[in-house]
Amino acid sequence: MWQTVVVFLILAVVVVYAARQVVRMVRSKTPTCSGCIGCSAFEEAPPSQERCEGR
Amino acid sequence: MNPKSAEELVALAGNPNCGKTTLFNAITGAHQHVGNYPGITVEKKEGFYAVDGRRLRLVDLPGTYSLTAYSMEELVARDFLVHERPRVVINIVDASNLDRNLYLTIQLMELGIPIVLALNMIDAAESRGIEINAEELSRRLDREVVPTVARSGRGKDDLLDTVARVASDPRDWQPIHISYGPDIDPVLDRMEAEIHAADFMTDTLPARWTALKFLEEDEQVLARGDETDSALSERLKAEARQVTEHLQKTLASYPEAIIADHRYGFIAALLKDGVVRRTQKADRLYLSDQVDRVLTNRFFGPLIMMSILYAVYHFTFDYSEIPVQWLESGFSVLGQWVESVLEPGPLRSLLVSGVIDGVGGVMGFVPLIMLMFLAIAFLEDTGYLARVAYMLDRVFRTFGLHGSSVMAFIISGGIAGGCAVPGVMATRTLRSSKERLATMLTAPFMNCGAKLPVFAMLIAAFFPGNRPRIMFLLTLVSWIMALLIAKLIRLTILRGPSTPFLLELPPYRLPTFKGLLIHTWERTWQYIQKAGTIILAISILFWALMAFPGLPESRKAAFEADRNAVLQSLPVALKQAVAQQEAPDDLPADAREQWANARKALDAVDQSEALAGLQNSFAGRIGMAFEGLSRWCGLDWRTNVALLSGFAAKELIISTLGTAYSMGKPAEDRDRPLSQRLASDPDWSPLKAMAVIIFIMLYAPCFATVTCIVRESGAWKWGLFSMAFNTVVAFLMAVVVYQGGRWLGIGG
Repeated sequence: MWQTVVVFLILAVVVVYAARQVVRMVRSKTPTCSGCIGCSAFEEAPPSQERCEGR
Repeated sequence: MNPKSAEELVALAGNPNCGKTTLFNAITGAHQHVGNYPGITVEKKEGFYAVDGRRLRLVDLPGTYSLTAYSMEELVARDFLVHERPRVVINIVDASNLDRNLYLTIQLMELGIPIVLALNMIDAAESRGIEINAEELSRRLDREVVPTVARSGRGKDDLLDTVARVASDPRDWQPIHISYGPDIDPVLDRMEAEIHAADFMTDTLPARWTALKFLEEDEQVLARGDETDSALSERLKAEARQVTEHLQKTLASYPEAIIADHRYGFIAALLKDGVVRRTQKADRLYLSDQVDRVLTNRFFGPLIMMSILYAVYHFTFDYSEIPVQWLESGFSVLGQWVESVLEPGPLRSLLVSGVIDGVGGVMGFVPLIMLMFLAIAFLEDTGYLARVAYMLDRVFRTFGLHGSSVMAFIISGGIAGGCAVPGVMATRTLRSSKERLATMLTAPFMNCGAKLPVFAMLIAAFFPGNRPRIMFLLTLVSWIMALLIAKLIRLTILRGPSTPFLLELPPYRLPTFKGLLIHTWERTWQYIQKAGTIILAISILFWALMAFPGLPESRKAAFEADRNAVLQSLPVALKQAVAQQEAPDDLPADAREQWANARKALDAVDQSEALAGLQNSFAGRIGMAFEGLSRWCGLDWRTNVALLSGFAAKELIISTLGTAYSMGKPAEDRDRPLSQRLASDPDWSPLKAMAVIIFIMLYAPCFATVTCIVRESGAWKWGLFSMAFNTVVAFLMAVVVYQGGRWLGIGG
């Protein structure tokens, strides 16, 4: 029983954390992926100033 | 100057690859990424430094060759200089390419911006036999000139003292006037007078500079002009058109070209009469050029490039094998320990199946990732990656992309181990929006650092004898697919002409050991952090999706009845013994056999129950809903769940597979690494593994990349398009591989 309680507490924390990450990713003007090569070169990038148009 | 904080805004401006970011790091103590290829800084970065009681706020601007509005870097740099009006601009110039670098200097001076010239890489210039009389240059420019070597910090203090002095100088820095010849000068003067008279944008821009921009047909300035005073703007445009028509008739040229010619003429005059002296040494081919004759040779260049790539994979896979095994064993021991201290229950399942088997699978590949980053950092710092871009330019143009697209591909994982987020952002250097979008949509096909451990695990499981060769093959497949898809996109939804490409080849440099270690560690740490945060969180969520809601009571009762049936068939004396995992020592031989058979039957019931629970879970149901379709490319429902999780981050494919193949498996099976578990699973085969790899390589980019595509393209439709289109392409290619393999009798 105690294991179930702990698991649900962990899940609650994780759901909140994951939701915050998603919101941050969508809203942020900067790249939020802690990727690998090159990321440090592109920190705090301004939003793109031009729209790309297809045909 | 801001009196409140006594803070001076100082900008660093210069051509790409002139050592700007190195100098910025040397001054501020920052660790901004420095690569030996042009265009590493696409946006501005900030740092601070205190000198003579003044606090300098240093801004590292993107490297630009000029202040036109052709690319994002130029716009970012120009807007900052015009609107923020820094107190001083440190203009870093490459001393060995002074004439070309001074082109930007002249434009800064035309804007009336106070500059201090940092004559950087003076040691490299001297070694090439180029001697520069800095004092005379300073006198002729009427600006301070300080020789520096950013890498060693030489001249840094002098430079900062000079900056502090210039910052406190009350002098009114007037824009310089250059003569642009008899065709342009009179019109320029007239336009300048009109602009002055109407106070047309003179709050931020010098009148003559605005007039020049009208002659150059600078889109941004023209648009701003239209907004400010459309009548005057139209008059200025008409005057510019007249000049253009006249120049076309008389010289078959344009104002922009004539202006550039005169600026270079001004620079040539500036450097004459002993300002720059070249000894005989300078006439010889530089070492870099000699090396380039071989490395970028039309025939040998591509062969050497392929060999280097292959060597990188050999180095990475060969030397990471043992440490990866150590880590896998470590996580296995940790799992056993948790099982020994916790009684069976949901928390134990979460820790063992969700966290240790899940995240542990991702962490186990840290040594491989580390070595891959080390190899990439070496290639990048030497300047070789710029040569790769140079060699692939022609290939890229054939497929409707741009030479600058190569760097976006490489950053995205062209040599396995990159990341598509900065790769997509690197497309900002492309001027044509259609080429840019085509690059943005195809760069995620590259094998990023998140896909790498997934591929490494599957390769270790099914192609253990050919690991570097398979990885090399996968790299080629990703490039070929990206180029073919780019061609398709450019022929259909993004039709348009190609734009020319000019790439500066930086000199080769020997990377410093410390620099390589810093780059490698920074990237490895990012990988570990990601595994310990978002990967851990999503792994736990997917564990929950695989653990709940569990089996309904009726089905649990049916499995319980099966267990009871096994027990009922045993003599009373054996019933208790069977409940134990190990047979008692005093058991007679015939009873021992009966015990073993009963134990096996009970284990089978346990596994069937766990498997049924997994299939009945939320994730299991989703996975099985797709199975009808995914079977075409050999994917079962467990793999479907893993691929679904991969949309959050590709590393999650490993952790989800780890969890899915941990739940419902006997303990001795769980103690083995995931690669071994998959290799021995009858549902898996080398053919299926290859189909899965192809699918993972090509399907929807991760969420972070999709949001980045949306942000960069300015439209959600392109983010959604990349998800849907890439997944369709991935599915079709995986079907071709799987069904083709079966048809050829390869297996599956």
